[in-house]
Amino acid sequence: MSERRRVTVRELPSYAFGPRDPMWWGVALLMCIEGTTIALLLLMYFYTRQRVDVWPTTAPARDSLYAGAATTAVLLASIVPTHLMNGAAYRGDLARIRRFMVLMTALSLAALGTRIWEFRALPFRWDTDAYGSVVWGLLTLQTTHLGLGVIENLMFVVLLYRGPVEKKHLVDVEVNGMYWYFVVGGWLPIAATIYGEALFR
Amino acid sequence: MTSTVATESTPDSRSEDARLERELTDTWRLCRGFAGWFCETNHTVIARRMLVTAFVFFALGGVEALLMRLELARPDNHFIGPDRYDQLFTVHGSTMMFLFAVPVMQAMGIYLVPLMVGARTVAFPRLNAYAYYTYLIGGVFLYVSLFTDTGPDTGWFSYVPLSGPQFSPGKRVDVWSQVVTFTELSALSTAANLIVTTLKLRAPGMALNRMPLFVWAELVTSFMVIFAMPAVMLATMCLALDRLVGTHFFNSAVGGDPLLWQHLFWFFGHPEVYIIFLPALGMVSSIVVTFSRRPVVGYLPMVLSLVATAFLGFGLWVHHMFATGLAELGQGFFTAASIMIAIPSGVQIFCWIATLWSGRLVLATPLWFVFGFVAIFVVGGLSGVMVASVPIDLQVHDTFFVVAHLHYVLIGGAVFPLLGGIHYWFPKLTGRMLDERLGKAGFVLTFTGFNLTFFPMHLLGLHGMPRRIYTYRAATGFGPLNLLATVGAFVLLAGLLVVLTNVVRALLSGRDAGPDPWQSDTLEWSVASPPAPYVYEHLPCVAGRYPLWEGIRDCVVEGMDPRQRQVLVTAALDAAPDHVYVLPGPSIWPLLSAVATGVTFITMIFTPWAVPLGLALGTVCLVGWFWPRPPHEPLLAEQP
Repeated sequence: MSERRRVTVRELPSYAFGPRDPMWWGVALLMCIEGTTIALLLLMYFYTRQRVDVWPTTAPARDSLYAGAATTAVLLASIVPTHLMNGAAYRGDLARIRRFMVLMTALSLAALGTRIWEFRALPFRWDTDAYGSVVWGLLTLQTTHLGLGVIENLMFVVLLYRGPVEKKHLVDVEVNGMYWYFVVGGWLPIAATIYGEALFR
Repeated sequence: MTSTVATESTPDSRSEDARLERELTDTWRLCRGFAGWFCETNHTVIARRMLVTAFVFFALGGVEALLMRLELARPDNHFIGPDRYDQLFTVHGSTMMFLFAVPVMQAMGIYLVPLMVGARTVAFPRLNAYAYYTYLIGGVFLYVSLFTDTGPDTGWFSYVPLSGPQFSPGKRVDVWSQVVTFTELSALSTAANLIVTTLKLRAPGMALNRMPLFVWAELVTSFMVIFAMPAVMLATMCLALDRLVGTHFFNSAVGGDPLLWQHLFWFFGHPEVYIIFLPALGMVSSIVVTFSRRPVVGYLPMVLSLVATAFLGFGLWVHHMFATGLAELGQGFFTAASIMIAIPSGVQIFCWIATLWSGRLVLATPLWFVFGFVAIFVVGGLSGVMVASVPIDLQVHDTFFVVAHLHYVLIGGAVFPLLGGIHYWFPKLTGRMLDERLGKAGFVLTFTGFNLTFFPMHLLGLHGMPRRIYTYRAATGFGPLNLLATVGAFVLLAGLLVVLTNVVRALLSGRDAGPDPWQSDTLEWSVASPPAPYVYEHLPCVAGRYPLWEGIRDCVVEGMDPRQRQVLVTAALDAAPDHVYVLPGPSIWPLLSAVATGVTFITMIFTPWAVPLGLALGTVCLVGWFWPRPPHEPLLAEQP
């Protein structure tokens, strides 16, 4: 007969929020990858900037500034329902999750709309010069993050209204909210770089 | 939560164990049939496929190398011709770096890390399958292009402006840039999987300071992948855009800069060396500990050295660009950083020597490969310190000296430990033992062949032979050393064929290995060889760094439901049990998503409309992959 130590896990929960959840880590790493890409593209902007005498070669027009400001405002506004939605997910309050998810999705779609306005307002094309390439590059990169966020938001809206909603979806809602914070947070240095210089010239 | 009970093997406990085994087998059953092959997500199956695929690409890259060696064997040779030669060295380099070295190291991680940390599988099994298929599609695409004479021809780092739209019309460079994107996407997915598996699925009690050094090496490497690979993905994307839609990222005529390409590429390219090399160091540590029969000397300095190497590895990319006319301050900084990285490498070498010195050595084949590694890698490291010095680098830049250096570092630093690792873990992967005599013969031939091939290249480089030339004149005097290198290449081939013969022989009629043929210390040796699909009947818990030498069987986890694909999630630092997570089962969606990725990337070579196409396909795949299907996990009380 031998003595055996046993670690009992029968009573442990089937899901957990925040860094306790593997999916949280997966999305955090995705954010690291995408964040590194943003940082590198911003470095490309400043690298290219120090090589030319006139910068920006074609300054963004007033319309561009308005469009950029509109996108920034909409994205910042979307943080509020995201925050409230996460709080509802912690409490398991489905009705409130659905309400704030719809609001957040509407704002994310609005941000896509203002982004189209931004592209249209730019007074240069991607193939005008290196400045045009890097600005279009930054906007396109952020639009892919935005687009991915919108697709995820729409999927959640359908899931939350059609069901079946599993308990672990509460965690997924929180992780989706975290990604959305990243979409908004990643936009701010890009907006400051593209439009800030034009604004303070 | 923890209790100690007296256990005795009784008929009741034996029938309980049999029931548990039956239920686990049923729950984790591998997919069957033709369709099942494409749905499988079991990590050992996917890792085996990755390993086999990587070694097939290794063989193809090797054939390309032999063709190049035949071409260079004598002066004024026209066996291949310049265009084909350009394709061969480009595809050889790209294959070895993108399709062999990184995937094979990650495949070893995907197979071994879950076993070593006491988990049933990886954190994201479907993502794992997706990563494999993406890698496979990318690799096949490269070889289809080579066999149809549209293989890339601008070198494995495809410098602009040579690879830009002006000097490389056609689609060859586009193939290269998309293959890189494929493989990096795969590597990033696998890295994320390995990190989360390591941080969240460790057995109770396996705090970070008790993790095996191989797991540490894979963890550090995976973080390097996360921060290094975006640079090359961004670079190749910008190159593709310059070529497809006329952007000017690298066009100096309108404000772009070709050197920007080099910065982006080497910001990835130098860490890439360590991404290949660090897992190999982890393998060396495992082998040294087992065959010294003692704990490693300096566990903490070893871990800190791995982390220091990773940090320093990001700070010396510019030493690949010393010939581009940098500011002196920059040259000084990157010289210092390049020399400094010898410190953590040296610490590890000394720790291994101290472990071997004070251990009771068992001179099995894996240890022979480790000895080979130490010898070759020290030579490669010393030539590295030489080229870190700007004046020497300017003299030998783009010569065969650099070819010799990089092969000493990469083959010595990665392939020899890998071959040692294959000999070491082969019994676990297959349940069969390799033959020791053939193993040692394989080592002697590969070691001799390798040095015969690559040592003369140092001398050729010092005598001024440039790399990437398809032939040379007899008057240069390069002939005899080139002939020696070619003979060496065939000796190396003979060595690798002996290794392959050993593997095939063992698979057909090898001796049964049993769970732990080497009397090793880490958890993977506590389960059957090869492991069952569920790996552990009872999840283990550990109380030290060397669980099998410290009585692993004295502690088990109980309370997991064998009728669900449950994994135990533990805290990232101290591995305290946190919650029990149910993983999704096999699925066709990883394959379909990889195909959608392939269609998008390949279409992108021809038209920007690939972007909306990819968006549509990606949305369909996301929905198919993640949409909840029965049997459902516990539902929220309130439903729509």
